[in-house]
Amino acid sequence: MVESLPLQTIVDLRAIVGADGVITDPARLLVYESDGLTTYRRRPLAVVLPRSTDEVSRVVRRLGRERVPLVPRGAGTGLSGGALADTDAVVISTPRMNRILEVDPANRRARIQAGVVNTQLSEATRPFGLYYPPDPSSQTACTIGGNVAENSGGPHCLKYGVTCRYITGLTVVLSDGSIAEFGGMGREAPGFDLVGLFVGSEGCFGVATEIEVSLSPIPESARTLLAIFDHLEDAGRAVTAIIARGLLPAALEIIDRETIRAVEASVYAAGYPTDAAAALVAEFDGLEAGLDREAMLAEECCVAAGAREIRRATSEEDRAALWKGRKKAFGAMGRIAPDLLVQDATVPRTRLPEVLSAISEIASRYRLTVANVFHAGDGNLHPNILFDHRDDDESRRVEQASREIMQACINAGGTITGEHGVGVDKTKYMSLIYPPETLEAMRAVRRVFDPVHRFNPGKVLPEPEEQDPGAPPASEAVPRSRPEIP
Amino acid sequence: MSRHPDRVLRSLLPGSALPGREEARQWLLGSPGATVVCPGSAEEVARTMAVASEEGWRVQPLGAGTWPSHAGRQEAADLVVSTVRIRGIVEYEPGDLTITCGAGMTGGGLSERVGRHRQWLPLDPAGWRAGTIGATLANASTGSLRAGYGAPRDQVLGLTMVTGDGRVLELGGRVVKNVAGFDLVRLAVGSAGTLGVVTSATLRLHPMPELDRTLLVRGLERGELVQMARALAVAPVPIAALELGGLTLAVGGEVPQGPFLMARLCGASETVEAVEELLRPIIQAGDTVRLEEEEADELRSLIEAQEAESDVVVRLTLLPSRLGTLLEVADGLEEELSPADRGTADGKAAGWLAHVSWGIVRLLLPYTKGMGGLGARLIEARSWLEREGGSLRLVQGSMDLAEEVGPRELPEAAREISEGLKREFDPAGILPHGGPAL
Repeated sequence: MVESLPLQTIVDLRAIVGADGVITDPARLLVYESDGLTTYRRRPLAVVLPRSTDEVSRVVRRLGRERVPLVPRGAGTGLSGGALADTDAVVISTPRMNRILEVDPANRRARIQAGVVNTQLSEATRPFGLYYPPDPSSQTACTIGGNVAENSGGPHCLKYGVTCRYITGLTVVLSDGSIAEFGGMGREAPGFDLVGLFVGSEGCFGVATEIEVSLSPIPESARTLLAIFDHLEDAGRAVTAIIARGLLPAALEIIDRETIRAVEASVYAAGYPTDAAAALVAEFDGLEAGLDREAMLAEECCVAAGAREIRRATSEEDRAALWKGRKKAFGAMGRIAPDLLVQDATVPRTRLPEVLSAISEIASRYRLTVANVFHAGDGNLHPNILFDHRDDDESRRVEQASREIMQACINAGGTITGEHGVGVDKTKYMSLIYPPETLEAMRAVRRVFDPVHRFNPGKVLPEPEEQDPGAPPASEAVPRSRPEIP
Repeated sequence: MSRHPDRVLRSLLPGSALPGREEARQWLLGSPGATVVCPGSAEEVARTMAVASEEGWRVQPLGAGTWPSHAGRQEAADLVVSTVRIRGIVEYEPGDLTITCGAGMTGGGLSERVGRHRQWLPLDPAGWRAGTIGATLANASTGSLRAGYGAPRDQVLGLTMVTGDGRVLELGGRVVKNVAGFDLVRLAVGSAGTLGVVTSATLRLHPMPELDRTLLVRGLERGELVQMARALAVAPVPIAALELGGLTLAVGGEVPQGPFLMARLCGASETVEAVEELLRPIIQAGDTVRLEEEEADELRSLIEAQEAESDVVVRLTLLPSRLGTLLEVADGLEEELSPADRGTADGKAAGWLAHVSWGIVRLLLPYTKGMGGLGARLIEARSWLEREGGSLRLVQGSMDLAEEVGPRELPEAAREISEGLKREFDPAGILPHGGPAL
């Protein structure tokens, strides 16, 4: 294990990326100690800030001589510790790779460097009436490269799908420094879908340096409504009813009582009633024609499920106000507790009410505050456990409750992460959802891309012997073989 | 090969997995000497693959065998493993818009089952109704609905796949959003049976559109239709499918000659009406017929039948904006045929279909062994298209033509990765090799 980079290595790296492209000063490295999940903190050996594919390739080759582990990083907004580097690793960070290389409206595509920020891409394509649909909550800061690594989602992915649907080509640097081109619009690349395989690989297969994305027409119009409920489970039932009605909203988001109160007590106050148990934001977008009818049908579903009040946005300002509480929920929680454990499980939509009840029961049993913010249309839950890490007893209860919540989601047929990724945070849960053979196959695929295990070690996959002690084997936790329905 | 598959498998599998000689014939394809097994579960497939791997039998995975000419075919297989008996529904919760079913379920069977709940799986490769879910996913077969709903990889949430050495892998999950671990589902989809045998799949369903309308435009020269199609492709409205065709088809009692354009609009009635209104200025130059669902289905069936019966289907791609160029390449290939070959004497005619939104042309050609020169022209066209950022793939055709055309070259890094993946999933190399490379 390398404890510090040899001086000559630093000199060589500076020769590749410029003097301002290598960070070794411990004070400046503090920024890179964690990603958006601050529970895990480690300071890397150094951070390198390349500007091009070629520079990334040369950096990877140069550091290969010392066999230094490498951690690709975008803006560091991830919520699973995926961009966390061990103390013997170097971070390859992409913010200087922020050029939009080509916007091609005739083919509804763009080619960009990996460090382009999500919203900047849509801003650049807006003059052509096009945009990039995946919209993670951190979209004003997160990079498309980071989105590729995590296969990020966002509120509007219910209708438009997650990142992988929009990635048509990749340039990547592999662990030996070689540059590989995968996919490309207009080219049905021979062989396996290496683009699809690379997206969501959490920096374990290589560094994506250039990305080709497909773009979509900006929706002509939108209808947004806010439904207020006295029971969280009723909001869950409204979601199921809206989908069962054959409607496909652009977004269906729920925030619960704890979250509403946190928001309303903060500078982000959006006028949500603080005595409500849940608020459901439903949005329909597309052509103007038909939107009113879709919104009306959704309203009917909400009322039938027990909504006590419906608010409709009649202007863009109204729409922003209805969304404000949802979009600022995470920020507002910082006011009521010093620490937040963000979960990200996904369950089948129809199981939402029972899972929400289970989460409530677990929180109560462990005397914890859980604030729920979630992409309800996808069944993607974010039960956020509020706590103070300085309180050892509370921290222990958080860990136990967190495990039970995860197990409840898995028992309902769900999975451990819908959009944040496994990172370092959820490796311990992987054996709850995948049998050993599948985990071993994932390890094998990783070896194929990175035989020397240089990229992002310790992420995504548990070591073979590392088994969650409290977990039943996957075969018991998730019944896979069920009797066939005639 | 040490032992004959027939004898070994009789002691390994239940009798129901071993079809009689007559029944088995339909699945033999190009391997007349092969043993055919139709296991009833992933476990039976696993047992079969484990012993096949030990014995070194060359295995051809198969669905219903209705796409016999697909390029991933094993040459002279010792064993054909068909998933036709693994065709039940494992789990279907209409409220979740997801279904888990056996790989042997046919597209038609699935459509019928979920259609009762006014849901559908928007995949429509030619022959979809008779083909199996497993084969559709293994080949990543797409049809024109890819424009509006995405490719097969976008519809699959999870898979069970048995590897070449008999390991049962549970890939993905049953929920619509899942980023737990590496996405091996996407690796499996389109791997053409080279990595394993898909035995079941969890699929994402969609609500059936309230209105499904197709606008058929005819009466224009091809160049005019191409221009119109491109204008439609970049119009800011949802079009479920956009297809150009150069086939001779009977519609409504007529037999129209010349190219045609089909724009399929799916959604709420009000939205579809509005889209049609917005498109009208673009399409008004042509002779436009509005086809409601049944009529359009009939037309698509005719197209499918023509494609399915075609001796050779070549898939050419370029950026969608270069559709005109792509059609010129297709013209060049068609011109290689003699007038007799191009004729319709035996009911087969040359023709083409284009997925406008994705820049894909499927060229349908009649073919006889004596027709020299086609293979060389395909290779030449492929080289040109690859230089231009496109591709060419033989998706249907005789083995001799496939051999002549040979595998496509992969760039070095992608080739090394692909070979590595193949070794990990099929260590004995008993599954087809050529599929993805063709």
